[in-house]
Amino acid sequence: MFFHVQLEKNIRLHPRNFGPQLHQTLKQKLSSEVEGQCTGRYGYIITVTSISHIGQGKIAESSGYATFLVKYRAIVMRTFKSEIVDAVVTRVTKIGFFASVGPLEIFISRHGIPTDMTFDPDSSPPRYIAEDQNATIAQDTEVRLKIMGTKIEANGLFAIGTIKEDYLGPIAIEQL
Amino acid sequence: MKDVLNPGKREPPVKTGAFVRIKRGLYKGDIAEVVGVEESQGLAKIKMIPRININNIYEAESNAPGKAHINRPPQRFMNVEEIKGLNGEVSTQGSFDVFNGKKYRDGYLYKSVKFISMEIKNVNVTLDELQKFNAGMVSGGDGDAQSALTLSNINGLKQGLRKQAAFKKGDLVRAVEGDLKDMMGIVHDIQPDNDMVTIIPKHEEFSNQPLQFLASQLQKHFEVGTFVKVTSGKHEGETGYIVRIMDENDGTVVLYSDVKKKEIKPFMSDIQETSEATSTETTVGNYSLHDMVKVDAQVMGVITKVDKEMFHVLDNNSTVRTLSLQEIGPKRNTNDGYKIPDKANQLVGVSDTIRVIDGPFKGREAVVKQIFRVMLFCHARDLLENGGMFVVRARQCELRGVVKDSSNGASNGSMRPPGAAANKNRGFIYKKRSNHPWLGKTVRITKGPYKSYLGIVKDVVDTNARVELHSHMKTISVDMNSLKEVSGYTDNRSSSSSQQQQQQHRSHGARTPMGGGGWDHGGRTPLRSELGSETPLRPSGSETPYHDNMPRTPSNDPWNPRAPMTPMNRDYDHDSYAPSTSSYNPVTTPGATSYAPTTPGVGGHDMPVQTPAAYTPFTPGGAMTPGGAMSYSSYQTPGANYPPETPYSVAPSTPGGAMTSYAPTTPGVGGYAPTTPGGYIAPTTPGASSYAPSTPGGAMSYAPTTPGVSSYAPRTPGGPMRHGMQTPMTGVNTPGGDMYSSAQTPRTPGIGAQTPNTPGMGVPMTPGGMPQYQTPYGAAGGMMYNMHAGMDGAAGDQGNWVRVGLIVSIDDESNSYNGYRGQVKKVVDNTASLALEMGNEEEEVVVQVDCDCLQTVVPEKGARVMVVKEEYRGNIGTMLSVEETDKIAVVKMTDGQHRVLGWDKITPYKD
Repeated sequence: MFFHVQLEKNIRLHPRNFGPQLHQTLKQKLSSEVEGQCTGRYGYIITVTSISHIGQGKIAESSGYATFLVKYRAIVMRTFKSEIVDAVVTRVTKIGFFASVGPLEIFISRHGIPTDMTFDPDSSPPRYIAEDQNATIAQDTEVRLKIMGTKIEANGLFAIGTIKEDYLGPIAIEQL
Repeated sequence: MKDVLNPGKREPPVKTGAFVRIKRGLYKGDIAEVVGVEESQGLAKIKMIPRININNIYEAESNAPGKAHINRPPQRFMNVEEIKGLNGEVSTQGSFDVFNGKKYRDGYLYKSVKFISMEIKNVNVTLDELQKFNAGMVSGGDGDAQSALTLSNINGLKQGLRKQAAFKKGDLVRAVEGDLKDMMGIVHDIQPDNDMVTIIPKHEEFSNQPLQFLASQLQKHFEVGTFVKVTSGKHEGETGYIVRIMDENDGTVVLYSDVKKKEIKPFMSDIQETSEATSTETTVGNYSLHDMVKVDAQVMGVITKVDKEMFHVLDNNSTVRTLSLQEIGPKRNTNDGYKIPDKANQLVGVSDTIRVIDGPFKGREAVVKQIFRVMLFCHARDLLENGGMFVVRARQCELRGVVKDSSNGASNGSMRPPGAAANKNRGFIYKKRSNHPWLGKTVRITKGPYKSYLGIVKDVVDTNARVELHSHMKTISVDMNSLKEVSGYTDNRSSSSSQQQQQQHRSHGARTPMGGGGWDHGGRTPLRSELGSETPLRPSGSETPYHDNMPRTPSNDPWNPRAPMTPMNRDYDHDSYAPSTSSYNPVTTPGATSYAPTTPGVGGHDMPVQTPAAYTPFTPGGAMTPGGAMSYSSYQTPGANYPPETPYSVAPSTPGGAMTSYAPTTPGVGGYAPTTPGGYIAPTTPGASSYAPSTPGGAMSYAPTTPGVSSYAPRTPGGPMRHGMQTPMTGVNTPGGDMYSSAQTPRTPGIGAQTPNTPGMGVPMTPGGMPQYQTPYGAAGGMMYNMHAGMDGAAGDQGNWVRVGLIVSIDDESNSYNGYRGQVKKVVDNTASLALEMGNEEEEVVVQVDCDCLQTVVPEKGARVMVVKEEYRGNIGTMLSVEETDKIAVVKMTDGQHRVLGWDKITPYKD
């Protein structure tokens, strides 16, 4: 799920930033470049918690840019196969529904939905509803699901999940 | 040593349970299952779904071998009862039903076929065929037979499937037969000669022992959630996530295809684990998925799906077309750096993520794939239609999050100068050329074959400039070093009359707001005054300025006041000028002659031009071209953005202001309307020898003040005509014509200013709005006069600009003194007592007239005048000069300042 890991990154800095604010600029730049990024190994980098070391800058001959090796610690989110996560349903379609766990999008096919839940396209918003009517899955429903597989895509991760197991499915929200 | 004799390989006998395909005859192409083999005779016993002709049950396939397949009966399981019902004779022989000499059991036809008439290899049984074949099992037979059938079918199925199962090193496989059934392993080695496969078992106790299996004993193994690619079969090339593995014996899986947003069901043997992001089947010919292609001149589409040789194209009108490779238009992918502003004026480019905040796709988040004009083609993963593509206006979206590019640009400092970054917030930026200072400038070429030529810089690439020559219809590439900017150069492309006009303007030292239609719009925008001279206007206004961004007919441009007023264009130097510049074009068009400023003395020349027909060239067609409308609509900003900054009291007549006063949703439309003084033209009938009709609105009386005036029946100087011409812009299709005709022709009673305002006229003006402008809206009805001074938001006092001492004219058809001029003696409520000037007659006539029916009078040179409207209202001055063409006057105010005012703002004044 969440991990606190040590990472490093080469940051290129424009010469105009060379000055007393250099470290400040580096930190800002690190955050803006790294946070929200997704790598296959570490998953999503949620936030940079601390910078442990900033290396010496090396100025590139032609451009004048300086490259700094920055070592930092960051909180990352990485999901694994068979992991159980709580997610929020973002969209419901006839072939399944999409749910998100923060930046991660998960598709739950209708094959991953218990057979007693059927798609009800006529309701608004469309939903999956259990035969005994006591469970529905519509947009914004919270569901507990199991991740069956993930794949790294160009702009993030994508996962396939299922709720067709015991103790999975919509999480009842206490009526206030 | 070479063999002397090389006996051909004997056809390998088929195995029982395998599927074969019939090569010829009635059953050509059908699959059949082998139930027995008689190798010595070269025969196989097969069973298949019979094709019995219900209409003629005794027709045997052998009877018509030639045509059999042309009109053959459909595959249908044999039903004994049905045949009997059709008077067929069915006998029983063992476990078979015999009908027409053929053996049937459980609906299947059993027969012996020679090996050579069967396809034994590469049968490639499809799932559909299998399902159809297996359907017979349900139809009956006793329990034993059924179970036997089931078994054999599964067998056959497996064989059929395994036949093509091509293992690759590294595949995860599972043993499905033999002692080690269900043993999992990873393929280590393959020996294609004897169909042996070596696997490393995934088992603690055997993990170091490679095991050998027959290929037929193994099956690929997948788990739910794996991303796989289909390597053969109907869905070849597609990719997807496994969402379900069907029954082990079925051999199929369900994939969720992330490209097509739908489920597909391939055979397990046809799929392979992959990390490839998208399906390979996204490219046909030169086109690939999400490419933008031209559909027709106004329509672009984006490929949403690529089938075999067919493209599904979603166009910018949100319609989906299916085009073949031959039909599809040229590829027109969005240029690098092409960005358009979103709702918050953030620039959106390709591959940015946006959120739709309005319209049918509201709430969706998507990645921009292509941009066509103001339309974004976006891809949303969770959208099922059109492969996730949809079209949305950029103005209905907002840019999401921090775009990597921009953050980098800001902090690591792309080489762009800081100023350029600030300039970024403009529309339609085409990075490469947006910022070059030379763009749009008029230059003289100082070297080379084109030395001394004048031209306009259209583009700058490195050190070369593309210069559009003034004298030749061409654009040449010139080194920047051999260019010299020509400052203060004005482009005299307009007709001589307009040149004259310009000169006159300059003599005033100012562009008077009431000036020629074209000038005004440019001139009144704040931008214009910032620049301080006309020069930028001209050079930048290349002849075809619009075409860069928005295709439109030139005839459209002159009348389109919108472009210059929109903020987008305002920043966008050269293009923003384009419209105003091109508004001169009309001068060169035939209809333009009507612009020729006419002094009263030249009135005769005016006349013909004023015929409605003269305006036809400007009829709405242009303004309404979809291209134009579309491109502007999104940029419309309330005129309020353009406070009347021009120094003249007429400032409010900037098109921007005018816009708001009229139809705010279509600013361009209203733009001109307010300035249409067409209504002001005191329409004195030629016959009406009585001159000086004063219109109650007090707007402007164009009515000549001299007695000779009546001969100028067409007292509609260029101005009004212009406005009339502009009316087409308002969307009223032919008001221009009407207006004119009525302006020139004697008015019929009832048309006068007193006629109630048509609703269109009543639209209240914003404070920025001008003085009483008649909207020509009502023109359709023949009444285009809306003289209500009450529309003068600035005045706020309705028609009560009238005050004692002013000399005004009556503009009231119903008044017998219509057109007479007089001095206001008294004002009570909204009624003025007017002492009319009766020419020679001694007697003084005093009439009571509604203030709304009064009009200003054009003062003579040297006359004392009072400003009656707007900013300088109440000030008194002396008339210095009169500008007939633009209906403006230079007035020396009592405080010594010179002001340029519209005729309708001033009227003579006597104590």
